[in-house]
Amino acid sequence: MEKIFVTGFGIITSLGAGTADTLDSLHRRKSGIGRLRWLETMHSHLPCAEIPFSTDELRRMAGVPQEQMTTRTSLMGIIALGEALEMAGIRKNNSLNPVLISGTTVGGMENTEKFFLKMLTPDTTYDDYILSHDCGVCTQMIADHYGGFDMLSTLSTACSSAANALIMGADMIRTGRTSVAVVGGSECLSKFHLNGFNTLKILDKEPCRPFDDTRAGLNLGEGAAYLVLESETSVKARGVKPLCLVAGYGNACDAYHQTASSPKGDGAVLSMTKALKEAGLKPEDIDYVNAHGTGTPNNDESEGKALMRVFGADSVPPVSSTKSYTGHTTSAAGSVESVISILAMLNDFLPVNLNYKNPMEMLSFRPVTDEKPPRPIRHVMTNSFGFGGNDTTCIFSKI
Amino acid sequence: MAVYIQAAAQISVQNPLCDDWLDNPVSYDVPFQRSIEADYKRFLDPVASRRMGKILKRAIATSMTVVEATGIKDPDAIIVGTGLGCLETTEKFMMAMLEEGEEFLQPTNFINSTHNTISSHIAVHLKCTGYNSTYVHLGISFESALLDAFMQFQLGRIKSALVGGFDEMIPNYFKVLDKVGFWEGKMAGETAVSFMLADSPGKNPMACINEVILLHNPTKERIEKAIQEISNKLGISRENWTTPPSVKPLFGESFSNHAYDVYAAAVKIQRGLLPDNVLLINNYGNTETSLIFMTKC
Repeated sequence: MEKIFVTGFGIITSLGAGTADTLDSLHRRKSGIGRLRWLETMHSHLPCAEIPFSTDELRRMAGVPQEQMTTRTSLMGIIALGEALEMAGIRKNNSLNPVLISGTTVGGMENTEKFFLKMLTPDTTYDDYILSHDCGVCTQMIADHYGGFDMLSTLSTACSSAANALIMGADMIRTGRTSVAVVGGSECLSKFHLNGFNTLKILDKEPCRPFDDTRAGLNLGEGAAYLVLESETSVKARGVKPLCLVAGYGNACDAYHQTASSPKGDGAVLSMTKALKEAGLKPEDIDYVNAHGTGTPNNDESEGKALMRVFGADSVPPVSSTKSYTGHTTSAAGSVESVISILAMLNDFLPVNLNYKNPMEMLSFRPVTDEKPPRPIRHVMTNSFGFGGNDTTCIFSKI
Repeated sequence: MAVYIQAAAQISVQNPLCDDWLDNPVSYDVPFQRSIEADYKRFLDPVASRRMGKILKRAIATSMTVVEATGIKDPDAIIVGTGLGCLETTEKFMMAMLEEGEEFLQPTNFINSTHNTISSHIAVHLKCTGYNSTYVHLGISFESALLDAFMQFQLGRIKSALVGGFDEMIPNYFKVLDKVGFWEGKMAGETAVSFMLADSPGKNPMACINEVILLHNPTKERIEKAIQEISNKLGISRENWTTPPSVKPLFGESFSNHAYDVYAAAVKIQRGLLPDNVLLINNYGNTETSLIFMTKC
């Protein structure tokens, strides 16, 4: 089977725009979680991880003219995609014609929730926003900013959307449909999903504490990240330096409940096991797991137990949740955390799990508190689990 | 490689869960028509049914129909295409938030508002822990799901897949889209179609799917080049592909309604009402194009 390499990636989160700021924050243990600045909501006491730029600032950074219809989700996507394409040395006219597979759930909801009541009146001022409501339009806006994409598609499996976009893109290379697939996701905060998560009573009023016994929920974040996946043939033909290998991935469904994970993490065990099998790796080969680790009582217990089942209670590799930095970037989490995992591997450090103090009794392992890895990092695993039990695991390997 | 359509079922503005539309189509002269509901009692207990939106009930009913028809109770994959997802519950949650404020919102409508609610509901209903995904790419959402399924077969990861196209339309959303001229005078409708695909023909296969191609902003030449490539690969010459007129006027406009064209082509191929090699072409909004190559089994 032909190897699939990562030849570029780009990211924007509350930690800043670009991999340099992201890496710096991870090293300095600086979280992006804080007070809301841009989203208007009565729940402003809830800590969130907003990108530190207003939508107008993002417009300027992305180079999207003021008069052009857009969404915050698209602008974030454009910025992250730009970094990924540049890193991979893909320019508009080098006739690679890549595909773009993007994950999002909110789409243009941030505009719809602002203007929908006005759209229902005879006033026509805001009507065009309806055409940017759905998820696919965001993918189009992101792709068409650069042009040259031969095919687009959009995934929405809630918080595993971007991870499943990676699977779709990688499978397109595996089946010979394309040699370059750009994959990832973008999701901005919206009043809709902040309120939605709030009704589920899973938002912590304090900064989240994944894998801590006192954890009381997640903090929502926003972010976008894209990875350029490329076949070995294309890498050689272009003479570019691959950054790492997409070793394997697995998708499974918990098929348990619409919002809760099964008590022992059955779906998570399946997705991790499938990914290991496809990568041709044994559990002991994994040097770091970037957990889904939302910080909700249910997820961290279920995922923790699943990790113990997959790796053995006494041999769980270093695990951390970087949602303590970026918040839960929902649909984008899969690609945001893939980029973070790859950064950890390429720079040989373990992102420390922030805000951890008290061990969870039912788990045999403790999250990472020391940046120094016990051994060189060769293989990293990242988990992304979504509502509805959409569980996905990706594994990347050093070259 | 070919993937067999072992069964397909629809709920639409035509009579549900049957192919009456073929001989006795229901015709409408309205701008917007919601689907004729099936009898859900056969598939769902009343308590569960009350909590589910229309789109979920239709998804379960069409899915259970193809499960029953094929005996494949535990498909290896469940993949859904939906342009707008669970619009009704999304609107309920959003309107409550906009009209009553952020204080006393209830979780049920939020829980049932995400696009993947549909595929995960089917998974929970069938207790399927296999591959599960949801595509939401405009007018080629369904074809994206079909392409994913096709690739999972190609890669030998699955032997069966439940693939569906689902969309609902609600009066307010219809109205706003109407204001911007989105419907272009066509009848707005909804979509609910489930297919049971397999790597084997089963007892009574309807048709085969031989390839699925998606293209963004293609020129005519790009489309023709893709058709030519696949024709060469399949060993069927370009002029031997027939493209039947779309059945969308019969079923209504909807984001994932190309599922009806695949469904109708499968029904007609099985009955010999279409030639053996069918190429379905969907051009959505002059930006997204899908090509689906189907043959008689």
